[in-house]
Amino acid sequence: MIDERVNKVFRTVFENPQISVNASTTAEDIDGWDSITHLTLITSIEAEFDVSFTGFEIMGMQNVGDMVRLIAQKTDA
Amino acid sequence: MQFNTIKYLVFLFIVFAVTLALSKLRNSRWIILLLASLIFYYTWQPYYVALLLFSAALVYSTGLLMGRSPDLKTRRRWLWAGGGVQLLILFFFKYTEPIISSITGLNPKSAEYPLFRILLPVGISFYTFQALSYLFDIYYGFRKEERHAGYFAAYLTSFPQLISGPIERSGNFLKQLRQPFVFNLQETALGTRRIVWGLFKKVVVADRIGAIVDPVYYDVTNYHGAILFFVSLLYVFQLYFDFSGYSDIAIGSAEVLGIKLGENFNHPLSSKSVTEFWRKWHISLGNWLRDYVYNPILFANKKWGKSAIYFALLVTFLICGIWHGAKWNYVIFGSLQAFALVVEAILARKRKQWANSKTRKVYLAISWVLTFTFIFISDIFFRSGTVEDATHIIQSFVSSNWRLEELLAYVNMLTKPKLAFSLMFLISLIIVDRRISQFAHGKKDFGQFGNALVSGSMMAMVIIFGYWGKVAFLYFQF
Amino acid sequence: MSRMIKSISLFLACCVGSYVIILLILCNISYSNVAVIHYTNNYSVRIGGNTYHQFHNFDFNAPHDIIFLGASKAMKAYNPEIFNQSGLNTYNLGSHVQDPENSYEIVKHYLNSSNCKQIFYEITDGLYSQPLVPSTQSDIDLVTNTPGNGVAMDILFRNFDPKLINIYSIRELQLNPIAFQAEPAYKGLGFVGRLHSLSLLNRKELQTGKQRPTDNVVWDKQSISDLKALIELIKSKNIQLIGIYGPVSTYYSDKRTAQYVDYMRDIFNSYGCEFWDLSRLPGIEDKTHYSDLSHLNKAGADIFSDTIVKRIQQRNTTGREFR
Repeated sequence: MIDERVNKVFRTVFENPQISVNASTTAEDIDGWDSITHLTLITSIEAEFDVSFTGFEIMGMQNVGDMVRLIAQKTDA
Repeated sequence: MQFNTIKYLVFLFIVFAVTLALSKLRNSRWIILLLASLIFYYTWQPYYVALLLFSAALVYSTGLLMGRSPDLKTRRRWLWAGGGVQLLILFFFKYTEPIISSITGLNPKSAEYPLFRILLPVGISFYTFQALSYLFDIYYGFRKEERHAGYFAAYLTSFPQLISGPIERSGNFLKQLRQPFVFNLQETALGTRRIVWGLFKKVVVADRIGAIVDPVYYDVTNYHGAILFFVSLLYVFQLYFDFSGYSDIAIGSAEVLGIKLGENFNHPLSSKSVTEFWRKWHISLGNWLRDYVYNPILFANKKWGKSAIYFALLVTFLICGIWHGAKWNYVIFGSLQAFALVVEAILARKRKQWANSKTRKVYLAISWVLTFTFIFISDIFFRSGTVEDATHIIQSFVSSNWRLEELLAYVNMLTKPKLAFSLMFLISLIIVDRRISQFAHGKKDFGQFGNALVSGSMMAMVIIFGYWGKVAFLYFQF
Repeated sequence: MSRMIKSISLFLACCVGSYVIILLILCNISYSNVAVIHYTNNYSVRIGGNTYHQFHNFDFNAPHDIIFLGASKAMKAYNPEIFNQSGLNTYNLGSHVQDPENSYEIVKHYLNSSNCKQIFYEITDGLYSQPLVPSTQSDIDLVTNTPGNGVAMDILFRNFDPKLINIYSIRELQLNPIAFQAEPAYKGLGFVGRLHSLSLLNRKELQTGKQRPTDNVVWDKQSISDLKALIELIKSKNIQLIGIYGPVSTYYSDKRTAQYVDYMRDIFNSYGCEFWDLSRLPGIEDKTHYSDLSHLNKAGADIFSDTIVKRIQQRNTTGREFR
């Protein structure tokens, strides 16, 4: 459930309908990932799942799997 | 022990031989590297070896304390404490003298005020940033603390990067150091190739160009447009070949010892935007700033939206400027970068459109010209002794009094054949830079004999055409 | 292991091969009568000049009474012609920035008790104290211009420096080197006598004294130890040695000069050698007898040389030594 909505956000932010992310996807794997899109991605994810990440939490995200875990934590709370 | 000396090459060979000979012994690698690095640093500044070891102990202990902390708050406190002390050390050695002298107007270099002459420890900006990257990585959870003091010390003091980078991350480095050294002929050969290439860029081209640039920059206000333009243009290339050459020697040295460091340059002068430039110039510094300054600021202020990006860029590049030194020149240098990057960020969408439009080629050509011009102007601030010098140079470009005859007189004085030879080298190098880089990176192979011939003749040219003597690397004062 | 040896050998072979081929080409093609090699680096000098003629015209078999040794201060202060007029057979082997290490080489390879009865060794301020003048120029000069391989090889192996490797190779690989002429100020017998006196800039500096060497001498340990080694070598060859501190302009203060003289005198005396303090001679004036702040011009050198001749004659008749 979470994975598909995440994919949707990615596709919108990076304007690429082909994107399909998994737990180990990192910034290097996605074309067009820079700090602007990174920021947009974070704020879009926050909006989509109605959560809020702290700067520290964002820094700790090393791949999509970390992001998903964090989303799960926050939505279950 | 400067990189561009026979002594260093002999030293490196000895360290390699000892590493190879003792490779079967467990733990030999970190001991040899640490010892060699301390000896290496000792040849630069004997007394400051103690300071280096102190920093290693400080950061190592801070790492342990952070690892043992039960919660984020405590971890943050240790980060501030340990990292703070290390930064204070950097600040004390690097910035107190310039700040005091600019406030009081006194000149520490004059014989009357010997007390506040503070000798800058070589490489301190680099090893401080390496140390901080380690602490931040623990803080953000990218790694666990390094429990073994010896391994940590070997990482922090590692001689290939110690003096002028690349700023290496602990994870990548220590993982490799922990593996026993296995001799790999290909790897050693590549490392040697890299070193020869770095030496070539540095002593055959950069120093040669430096001999043409330095006399004019020494006395800037006496010169006018034509000659200042000429030497400033040459300086752009001098800086690139000098610093990238140095990095090649550093990376090649580590490679000979079986450790792959991160790349530091990727043909930055062909960049079509300042954003691209900072991904290809002094990459290890750019990555450090991105990961530990830019991203934290950006994400902490994400509620500002796009403005968070502009703010983060401004702070990051001001720090970048000041990191180079406590001179207003560097502050302006940093501000210029921030300004250009903010403009590019604002126009990001538009730029993408232009790059994908039918007028793509024209757009890219103009972009390159603009970017190169920007680098050219930035480097003037970077190189000049004072802000007045830099502004004088820039003003001279827009004045109508270019005094072409001044340039011609200088060219005459330099003996035309010598100048011609230097320029010939420079231009040849600009043309073959990419190809030889590929060779040095192992991406081009000419067969066993061919490879030996290219490296061998390059080494011969280094010895014959090199500008040997008291010319150090430009970045070692940082 | 054998692959590594093969690899290293191949690399070295290509390196040395390319080195020799490139140098051969560059040394034997000229542009404007100068071999191209001299345009490709910033340190090689063409064969020739004062040092070349000085050493190549030196008769290694003649029984010289006095050889003058030291840096350019020696080269410009002792005029052998003046000495030879009084019946002595003398020669000046002083050369630019010739520090005690290089003087050692000259004594080692060229001088012995048959061709040299006495050495007058001139002490130059700047070669024994901070800020130390580097001897690179002398290394390059001597490797390029001295006859025989002894001096050149010794200097090369002492300073294992790519510059000197190149200069030595250039010297060996030039098939027909043409020694260029010494300058007009070269008067033969190793002596250089400039005709002009202090320039306006020199006079200004003498007055304002902004960059004047300090009154406090900071000795360089290595140079002093080199000096001692030189003295020991000369003594071991049964050559008599006299140390001299010749005239310097008042750019060097009395206090500083006195420190130099005292320190050097102690060293020379400790080896049983005389030391002459001739730093301030009546009859030698700043404005007329110096070509720059540290060197006598020909007029000054003639007066100085004459003074020494008289001193020697006095010594011979009275048997009194000068310490």
